[in-house]
Amino acid sequence: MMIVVVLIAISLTVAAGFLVAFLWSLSAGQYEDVDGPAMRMLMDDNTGLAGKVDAPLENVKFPDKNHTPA
Amino acid sequence: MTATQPHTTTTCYHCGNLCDNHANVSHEKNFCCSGCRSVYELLHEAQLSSYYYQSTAPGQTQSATRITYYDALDVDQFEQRALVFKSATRCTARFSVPAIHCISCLWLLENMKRLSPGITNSHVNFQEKTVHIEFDPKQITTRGVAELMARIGYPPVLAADLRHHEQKTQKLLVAKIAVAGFAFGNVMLLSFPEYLGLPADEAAFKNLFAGLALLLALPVALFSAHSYFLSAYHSVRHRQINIDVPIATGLAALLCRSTYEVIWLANPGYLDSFTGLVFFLLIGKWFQDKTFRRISFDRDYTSYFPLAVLTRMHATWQPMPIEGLKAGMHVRVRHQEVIPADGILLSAQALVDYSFVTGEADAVPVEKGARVFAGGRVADMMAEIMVSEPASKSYLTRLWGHEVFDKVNKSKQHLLIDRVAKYFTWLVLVLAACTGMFWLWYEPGVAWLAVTSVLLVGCPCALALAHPFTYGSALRWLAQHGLFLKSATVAEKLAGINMVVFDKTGTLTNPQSQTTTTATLSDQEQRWIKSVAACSVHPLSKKVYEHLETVDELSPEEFEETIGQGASGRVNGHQVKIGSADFTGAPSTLAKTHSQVHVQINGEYKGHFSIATSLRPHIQNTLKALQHLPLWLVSGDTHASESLMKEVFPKGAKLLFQQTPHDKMELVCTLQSNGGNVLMVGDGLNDAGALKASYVGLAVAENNSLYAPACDGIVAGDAVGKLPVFLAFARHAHGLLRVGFGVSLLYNCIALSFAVSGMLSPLIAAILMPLSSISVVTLATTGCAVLARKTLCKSV
Repeated sequence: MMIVVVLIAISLTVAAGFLVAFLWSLSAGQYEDVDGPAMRMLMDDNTGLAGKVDAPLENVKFPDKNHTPA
Repeated sequence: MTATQPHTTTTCYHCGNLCDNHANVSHEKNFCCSGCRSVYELLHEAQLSSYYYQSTAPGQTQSATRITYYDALDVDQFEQRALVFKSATRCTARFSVPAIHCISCLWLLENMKRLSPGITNSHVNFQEKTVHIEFDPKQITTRGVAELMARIGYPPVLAADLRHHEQKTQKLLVAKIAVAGFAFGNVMLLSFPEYLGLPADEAAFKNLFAGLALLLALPVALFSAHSYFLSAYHSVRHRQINIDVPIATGLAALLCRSTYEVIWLANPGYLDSFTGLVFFLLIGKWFQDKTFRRISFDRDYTSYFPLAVLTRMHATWQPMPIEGLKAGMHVRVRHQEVIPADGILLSAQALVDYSFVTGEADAVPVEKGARVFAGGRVADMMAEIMVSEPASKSYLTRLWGHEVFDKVNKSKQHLLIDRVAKYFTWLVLVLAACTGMFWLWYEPGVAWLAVTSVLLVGCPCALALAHPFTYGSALRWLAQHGLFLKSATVAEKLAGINMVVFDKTGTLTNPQSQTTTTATLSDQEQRWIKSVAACSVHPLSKKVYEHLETVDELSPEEFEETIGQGASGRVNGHQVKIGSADFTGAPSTLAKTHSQVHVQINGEYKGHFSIATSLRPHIQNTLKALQHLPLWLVSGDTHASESLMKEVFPKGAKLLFQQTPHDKMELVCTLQSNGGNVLMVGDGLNDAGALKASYVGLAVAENNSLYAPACDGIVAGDAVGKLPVFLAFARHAHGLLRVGFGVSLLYNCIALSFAVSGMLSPLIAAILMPLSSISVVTLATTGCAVLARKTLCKSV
């Protein structure tokens, strides 16, 4: 039955590891802006040249609720 | 740019608003105003046009944006406030930018380095609506960065805010929950063998498990539960028993009893209950403390005033913090800037908009030598003013010196939870004492166990969860329907409202006014009038200009404006006069109010435009639904709108006009001291005193900027009509809370009956505790959802 002691030691270590990881991510500010990264990944890095492209999205109407004209 | 197909729609390419004329065309794109166009041209030149491809019409309209000045950033103390890091070669500034709202905003602000070589990096926090900008101070100043942001349509707001601190406490709370959750899960696993029954030859494990559980509970006691012990200690010292006292007693009893059992009896004790309790309690706290991160409820007058103002020093104009203003100084207040202190006008004339201070909608012309008051906005050109009173002693800011602003906790009335807690604590203590005495007499060996059992199940865990979960979810439901409350406490207070006081301007009336005309005018004549109105700086002329949107404008050959009278000009050889009745030779029989613009063309009186403030839709029904409560109207406006208001308000409502901000506050104070729980609904800075003095102060804010003075809650402009429903919902939620209290007390009674008879085993505690917590939480959240469906959603 000594195996139980070993297993408990391992499981506690793993769980504590996750706790520490969570506390670290919290203090590192990973939860401060959860919307920004979701948008950032949609942007291309080389959009600076897009002036040469003819506005591809011009005729597409986005369902953007923030955008009802006042 | 290669040729693109011509636009058929006339919405602004930058902001998506409708374009009223076609004068603002650039690169074959239409713009609603020159502001939007210049932002576009700037971005186009810098090859940042893909700003417009991330989403359609991403900008904020520039026509309504007020000009902001950033010379304050040249003053060291304000620059320090904006900078988070500073060295000789690299600075990082943190700006709050309320205009951030979509992916394009994020993209543009993070590409700011392409607009200026001095900027090396920028990072947006989308939720907080802030931008961190790294720049080289040798190439660009902090002020330069702020001005650049304003030019691309994202003016930063310079005001001290406290939200950073709030966020830190929220973070700490999450860390506490994490620790408590970790301990709870593991302790429960370790307690399982004990509940299922360990064979006698495995006693070594029993010791090991108990020891580990105690070890795991230690950080919970020291870190997670720390605030409960502290709060209980403080409240006992102030002789005010709140809900934290019985909680802390229960937690302490659990901990002591368990430690004793683990060390001396090698039993697992009640550590699973202890850690679980702390875990649930903290989650309740977190649920309740939900804050609306974008909204600030604690603005005072300083957020409306400029931080610094141009002051004459040694023949040059330099920015000076407004706290430093002294009597006799000469200051220069530019177009759209707020006058920082009372003073005397030195310029020949000025048009001052006092809507902040008085709620009066129309700008007032001021002659040289007359007094101007702090809080007024200069509506025309620049004005020079000699300060006569320091900023802190001016007419408007004196309001903030009033005692209502000093009260931290403005109501002495205890909330339901604290009233219940008081009785509960005494009841548990008396019960523990009785139990102890009984067992001492009957069987002394059990006494200590029975007493600690009573104390530990007397912990009002479910009771303490009912409150945050009921009001936490009520808060979320209300926010979904346009009412943002500062805290759960406000939601509870809303249920006790027995009187409602309204401000008129901006609360009952729409910010957009309606223009009607009595004159019959040909298209040609309309065009002339519009042309003259376009040159005038008077706000009423602007309304006329906006009203005549169907015709295009010309440029007048001659134009002259007389402050307080009107404007005259010559268009295509025709003499056009617009302005007051006397100025245009209107017949004297006409009833005169000041919201009229009279028109004379070529010496002939044509008629007038009336600019009427329109009421919010369905406001009459709203007021009718509230007529069981005493209703008041306090308005800064003149009696001009009295007849309209009399029609709107039900009989018995009291209407007061020409009220100064002080009058409003005094009225609310009087009503409050006569036993009323006043709900004050106002909007501007002029209501700030009344909002603060009231039991619950709600500010009305237009669109999603939610910019409002210090208050308990903010109502979105289009949700004002739902006020009676909000009040009904709050009352129902209060009823729900009582039910929740009943259920949790029932659980406490069951547990206490076990404890008093000395039969409380760790297993029973471990079952009852989560069961009571979870059932109360479910009752509170689903109950709130049902109530919201029934009351809030039905009215839509």
